Amino acid sequence: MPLVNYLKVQRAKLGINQAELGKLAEVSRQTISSIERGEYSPSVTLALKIARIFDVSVEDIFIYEEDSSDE
Amino acid sequence: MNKKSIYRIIFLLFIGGVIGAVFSVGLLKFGEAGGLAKLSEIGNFLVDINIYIFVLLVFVLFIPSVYLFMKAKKVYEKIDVMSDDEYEEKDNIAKKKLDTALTLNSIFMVLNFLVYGTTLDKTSDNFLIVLMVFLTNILAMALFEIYVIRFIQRKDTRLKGDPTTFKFTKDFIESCDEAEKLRIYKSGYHAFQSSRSASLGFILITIISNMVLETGALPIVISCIWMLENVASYGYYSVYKK
Repeated sequence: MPLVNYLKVQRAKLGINQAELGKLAEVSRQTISSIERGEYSPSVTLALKIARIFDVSVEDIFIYEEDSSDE
Repeated sequence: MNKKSIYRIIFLLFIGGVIGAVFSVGLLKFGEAGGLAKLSEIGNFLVDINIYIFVLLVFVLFIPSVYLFMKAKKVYEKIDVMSDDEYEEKDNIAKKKLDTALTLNSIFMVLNFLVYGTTLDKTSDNFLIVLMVFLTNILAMALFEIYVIRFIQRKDTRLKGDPTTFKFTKDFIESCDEAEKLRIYKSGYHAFQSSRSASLGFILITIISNMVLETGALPIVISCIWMLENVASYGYYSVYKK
């Protein structure tokens, strides 16, 4: 999946766990965990919501990286 | 449509014809060899012991499903205070147990209906006892499912819906987050795909069985209604496109 994320890093900076972030973003703890593991790519709405929680831009958390094998 | 596609369709039709012919011949031979009489004997035997089958279903399916749920519940009761890494590990274990418990409970319901529907004998002395055992099993299954759903909702207060109402599925799905909805839709799609293939298979089986063994038109009609339900997806698609 070409979407790299730094959600865990941002979460550590803010000092909150997955459950707390889940509550703030109004999603389940499992969904936060799936995003962190790269198993699930959040919608634009959820990505913006998460970015707002951390008070950073979406690109500070989610980065789209082209797979080198696609080139 | 290119030539390759047409040849593929003709080949698949041919294969379908061969399978149908083999199945028909097999059924004919089965009928000639007294297979129907043997089936009837087995059927009568099952009618005689149906009450034991209901009890067996409780031990093989219902009790294990309650046991697995209790195991999952124990994990979920401690999970909130766990660290994220520990949580993931325990959550996976508990979720598997919970999913297995709900699957076993659903199988329990289906088999109860199957046993009741196929072995019911109105003239039997224990007709009322069988009816009571069947109703008790179905009630236990329903109460257990409601209890599990309410437990899940207590653990995650985002999840809405009253499991005792017809609106439950709609309300529950609406309260799920986007990742959960995607998972539900994906599993629904897989169930739809397998159901579509199965319905086609059942139509063929019921048609051949009716031709060879005169099993009646009702199974064919039911299989066709089942397939019609699957085809309804095209209608839903056109509605959602707008």
